[in-house]
Amino acid sequence: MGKSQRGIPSVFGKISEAISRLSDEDYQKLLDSSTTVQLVLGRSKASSKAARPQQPKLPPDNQPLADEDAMCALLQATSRVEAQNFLEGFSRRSLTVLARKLDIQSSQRDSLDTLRQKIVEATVGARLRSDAIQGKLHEAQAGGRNSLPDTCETSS
Amino acid sequence: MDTVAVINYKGGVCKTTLTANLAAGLACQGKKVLVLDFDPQSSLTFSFIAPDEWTEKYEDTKTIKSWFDAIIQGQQPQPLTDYVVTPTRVNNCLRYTGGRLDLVCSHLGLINVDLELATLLGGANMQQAKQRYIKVHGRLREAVLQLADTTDYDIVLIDCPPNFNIVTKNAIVASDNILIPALPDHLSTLGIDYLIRNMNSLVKEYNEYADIDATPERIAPHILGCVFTKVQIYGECPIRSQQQFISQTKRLGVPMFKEYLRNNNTIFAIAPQEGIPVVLNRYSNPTYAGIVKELKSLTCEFLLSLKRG
Repeated sequence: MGKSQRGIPSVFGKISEAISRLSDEDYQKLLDSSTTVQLVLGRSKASSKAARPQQPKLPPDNQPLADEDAMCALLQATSRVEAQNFLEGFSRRSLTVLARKLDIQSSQRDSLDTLRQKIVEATVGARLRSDAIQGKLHEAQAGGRNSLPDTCETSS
Repeated sequence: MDTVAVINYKGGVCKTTLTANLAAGLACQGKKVLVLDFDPQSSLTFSFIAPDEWTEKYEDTKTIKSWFDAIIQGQQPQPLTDYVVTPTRVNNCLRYTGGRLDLVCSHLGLINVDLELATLLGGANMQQAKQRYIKVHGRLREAVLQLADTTDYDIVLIDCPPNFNIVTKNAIVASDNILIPALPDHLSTLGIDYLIRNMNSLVKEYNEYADIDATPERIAPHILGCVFTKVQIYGECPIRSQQQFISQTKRLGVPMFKEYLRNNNTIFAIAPQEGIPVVLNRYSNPTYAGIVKELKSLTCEFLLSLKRG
């Protein structure tokens, strides 16, 4: 199909959307007179989705997810295994919501195991790493300590 | 007078950029600010003074190395005020603010000072060793206390190197407050834990030894908080991969500043060459002007945290 004037507004619309997705720094580079621009075409998410075999819809979430309770439980877990076991019964949707609440970077391509691992590492894993570096694990083994925080502080 | 050490074990986390912009931001608000450059790389020094000017005027006798050299040679060093320089370019920008920004320059030879100071440690017995420990690690503290009595400085900022050697320990012992710049990534946030561990150990050791000889006071530097740097913003929020480390650090109970040092290679790359930190510039470009506004907000948040601490 040759270029026609009828398609040009649509093309400019796509270019405008691509510009709005640029970071501040890239936008500044775009304004620089020495920068050149090349168009690289790709599929939109909608057409990619249509091209892929349809993923089965997730069943309704039977587990009433109380976000704050789940986060509290994770932050109080004393080991990675304990946190992993806690998350074992969570659906993909619940894990995704939990990851978002914890500001964890995740993608739809992550497997359930990967999602659980990311959540574990961002919560109890982070605390264990911090305690190890600060030498608190040695102190705990030597004297015994209550590693549970008194209150649960969740990120908003 | 408040004394703040700016420190992180991890290199490249914008300690110098943060120190320079905080110092300039505070001076712009009318404060009298002294910055001490304790990093042998001398980045803070060269953010305000051209290297050739430094070589010609200050290298031989007017750096923090010269001050430490006197100690190593067993002499009483001159007061720190004798080593202070007032950089021209930045202070020209401050002339109508009532503020001032002074500097004690660094020197590449500061690398060797640690080794030489270490030879002053030890002793014939434990008591002597502990007294020498206090003496070697507490020299800067004495000098800073003297500054508080004899000068009009409101704030002293110490730009520390990314290590925990004797020179750095002097800075921590001398400081009332600790400010921790960090990148929002995995390795840099681990550096925060290393720092806290070593700082707690130093404070405990110093205070134990100080109790033996009642003359020096016990120390209790307070962690003001962590300032995240090189933050990439998208849609008015840090990008996801950085936000997760910011949130993770918050969950670990590390006090954190709300304001960030936003990533911008253009203006932060040029500013040291001009000798004027970004916060003192006026830009017509809205992105750059926004960064200046954020730096000013960070300065205000820093001042509030000093008052609260």
